Amino acid sequence: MDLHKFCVKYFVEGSSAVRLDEFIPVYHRWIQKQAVGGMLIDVADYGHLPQGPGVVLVAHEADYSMDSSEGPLGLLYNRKTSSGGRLADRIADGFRSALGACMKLENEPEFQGKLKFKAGGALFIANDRLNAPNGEEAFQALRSDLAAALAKVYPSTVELRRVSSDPRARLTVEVRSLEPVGDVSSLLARLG
Amino acid sequence: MSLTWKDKLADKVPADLAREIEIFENEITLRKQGKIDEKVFAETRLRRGAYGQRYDNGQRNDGLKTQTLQYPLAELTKGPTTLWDAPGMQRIKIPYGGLNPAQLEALAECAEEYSDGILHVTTRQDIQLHYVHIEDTPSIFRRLAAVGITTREACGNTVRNVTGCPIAGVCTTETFDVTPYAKATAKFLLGHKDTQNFGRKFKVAFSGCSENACGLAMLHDVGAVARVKDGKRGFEFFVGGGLGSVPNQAKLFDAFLPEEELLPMCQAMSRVFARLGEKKNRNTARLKFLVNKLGLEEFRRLVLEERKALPDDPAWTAYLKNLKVTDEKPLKPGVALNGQPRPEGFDAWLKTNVYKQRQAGYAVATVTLPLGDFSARQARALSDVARKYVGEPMRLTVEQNLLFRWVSEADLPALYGELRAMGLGEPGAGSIVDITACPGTDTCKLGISSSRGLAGELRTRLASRMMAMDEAVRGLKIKVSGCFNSCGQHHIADLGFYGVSRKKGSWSVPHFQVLVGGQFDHNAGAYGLAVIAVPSKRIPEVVDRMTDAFLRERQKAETFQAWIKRIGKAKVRAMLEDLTAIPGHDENPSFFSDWRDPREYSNGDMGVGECAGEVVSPLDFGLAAAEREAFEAQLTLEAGDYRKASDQALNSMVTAARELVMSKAAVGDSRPDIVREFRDRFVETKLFWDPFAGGKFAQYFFSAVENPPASPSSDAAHRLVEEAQLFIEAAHSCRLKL
Repeated sequence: MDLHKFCVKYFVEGSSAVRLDEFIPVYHRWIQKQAVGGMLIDVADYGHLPQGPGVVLVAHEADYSMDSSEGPLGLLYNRKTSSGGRLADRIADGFRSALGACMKLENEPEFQGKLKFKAGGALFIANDRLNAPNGEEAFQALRSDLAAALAKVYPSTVELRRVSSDPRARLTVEVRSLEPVGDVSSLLARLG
Repeated sequence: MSLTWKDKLADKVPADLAREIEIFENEITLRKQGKIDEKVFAETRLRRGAYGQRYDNGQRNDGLKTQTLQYPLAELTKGPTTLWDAPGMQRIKIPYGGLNPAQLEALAECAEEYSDGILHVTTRQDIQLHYVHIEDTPSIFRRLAAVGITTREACGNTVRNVTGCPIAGVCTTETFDVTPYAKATAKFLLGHKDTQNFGRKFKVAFSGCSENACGLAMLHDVGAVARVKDGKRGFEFFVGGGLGSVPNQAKLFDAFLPEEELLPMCQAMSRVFARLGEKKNRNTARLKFLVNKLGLEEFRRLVLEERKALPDDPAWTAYLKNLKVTDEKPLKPGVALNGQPRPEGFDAWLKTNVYKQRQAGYAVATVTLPLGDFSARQARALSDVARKYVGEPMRLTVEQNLLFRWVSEADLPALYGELRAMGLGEPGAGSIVDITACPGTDTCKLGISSSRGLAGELRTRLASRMMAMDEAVRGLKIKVSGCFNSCGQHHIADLGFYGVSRKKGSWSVPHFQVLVGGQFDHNAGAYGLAVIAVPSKRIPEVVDRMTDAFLRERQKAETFQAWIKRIGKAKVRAMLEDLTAIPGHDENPSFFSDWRDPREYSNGDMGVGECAGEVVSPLDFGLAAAEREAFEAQLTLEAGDYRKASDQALNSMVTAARELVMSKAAVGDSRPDIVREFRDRFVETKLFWDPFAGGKFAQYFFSAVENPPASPSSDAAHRLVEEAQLFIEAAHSCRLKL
């Protein structure tokens, strides 16, 4: 599958503890310090929109948002540009970036003790209806690369489930570890 | 080879749009090869709605220092000081705001895959996507074209989106439904040869009546308000309106323009504007300046003279034979709201967001979109709602909302429930909480203060107490622009604000000018004036103080506007004077950053706006077109179709020659005429003359025209393509001498 544009989302535990506007200064600080990889450009605030992308750290290669449009509040990593290598490696790299951002957010002074991400599950969204339309065929074509990538992330077997059969939606896969896992930092450590 | 949208949608994109998009795609390739000048490319992309965005010059102040944004293609530009890889804004024209579910779904897909997942409704019924890469635009165009949407002429010095009343056809006060006229005007003027050489943009609006505001005809270059005279349809026809830094109320051009004269008069006006409008100074290039300069009488005389000289065009009246083409069929029978269970919050929503149509049993339901935004997911959910309750019709509004028309009143509670479930069931449409705002410093290169930040803050504060407000206050309109250019239409609000900055010591402080006296009704009947500049962080106090004073002092049913008029602007200023004080930086640093942006405020991020577009001469455009044709000949040659490649190469030479001739005199499409004129005016005069090669390049052209290869070999086609390129290069050299 020729897939370069995709999203990875990790959900927040107990989302009521944090407010969206608290992410705005954090993301601005990340730009000042170039705290995450990629060329960071700006912060887009959609906090006024219920069930929207929340607060978005816009970068050239990939955006990071505190998103409520794809399910409950969570960190959504959105890879936008093409990169080389095998699809499984690109996906693993996407998980690495998403988990890295989650860990960084958990450790920000504003969120310490308030913000924790659920490491045991995630969403994977193929953001490319041309190469990965939302159908069983594309899901099966994606499955092996996604599973190979997730084998690097999770210590035990994961379950993969296509979330919606709506052909208008993006191919979205729910990832769920069948065994308890540690926190996001432990997953990140596995990825190296 | 990987699959492309071009292949996938080949049978779905209309041929003319497919060709148009292919041309642009080739221009992208040529620009990347350095074969199109950046200014020409800028105007060419603007004419497809691909606009620049803040920080696209590669500089951004992060609150501590100005950082250079290191884009991969650091040397390549898509316009003057506009970097290739920098994200841009894509404006998408939605004529009269009319959308169907399939179109909304296509827009949602594009927002998800190429933007940040948000669709933004503008104050001119467009949709904008932000953070779009220029190389994604051809795919966006194809996906939209497949559902009948074109972005052509959404920006640049062109006829912009034709706007119209969103409740046309169902309105209780309209004279007649203006929708088919707005549609016909948009179609007729799109890409028309008489609208391609403006010095500035040209905006057209339609209203069904004078009293209600929906169409805002008075603030447009051309405003048409429905009229019936002696049983015949026509328009009260206004010209030269506009907001911007120098707002101008439109002037009455004709008290009754018969319907059959609508399109020819627009055409004649376009010709006069193209011929006499300012081209060098973009600040005085709108039609309003030309009308003011000439005087209305002289302008009218010139337009009428032009009208008489126009050759007949069947398109002027063809659409009149089927004015019902835009009529909508309701999906369900109209049943009154009567006894259905009402979900929580429904009554408040019903009060502000529902308009009873003139057709019994039907209503218009307004979806309040916070700051004009909705997500791609919400767009799909709205499409489902449209299909379920109304079939097709939706409209976008100049107040940045979305309407469902033809809702059976009995379905309103269920529809409301679905809107609530998707997070879009807020009441307050058209009220003080339904604040209009342009993008401002969020994404606009010209933004001075955060219009969306302020609008969001006011919205949050006012929404919590809206239902407890006095009706007179609840009905006020607030509009915010990030700068004086008035994209947020601050001049026509009860309380308008536009961004400015002030200094306090060495610090810059974001401010807003406060405008009062504007009127939304009567088609934007009056423009407000700025009374005082107040620090951004004190604007909520301005709103509270003004509305409290209004409630305290108003006499009987006095409107806000009448109250302002009675008390006078001096008193308004005095009322707000103390709010201009700026605390010291140490005392309250929050004053030195903008709403929802914690960076130390600076206006160093402002760039050069592209709103005015680049004034590119028709000759430069023509030579760019010739160049593109020659490039296409190359591609065809590569594909092995020598016959077609030869034809394309020859055509590219003819285009270049014709454009040169056109810079001197009118010439049609007849090839012999072009050759003769080119020979007389350029070759005989040695204007088209190379210091080393002499007339050799012209001879390539003559030879190709006079003896086109009957069945060209690979070599012959190759030679002709090369000659075409040399001929076009020589045309560029010649252009420098003109």
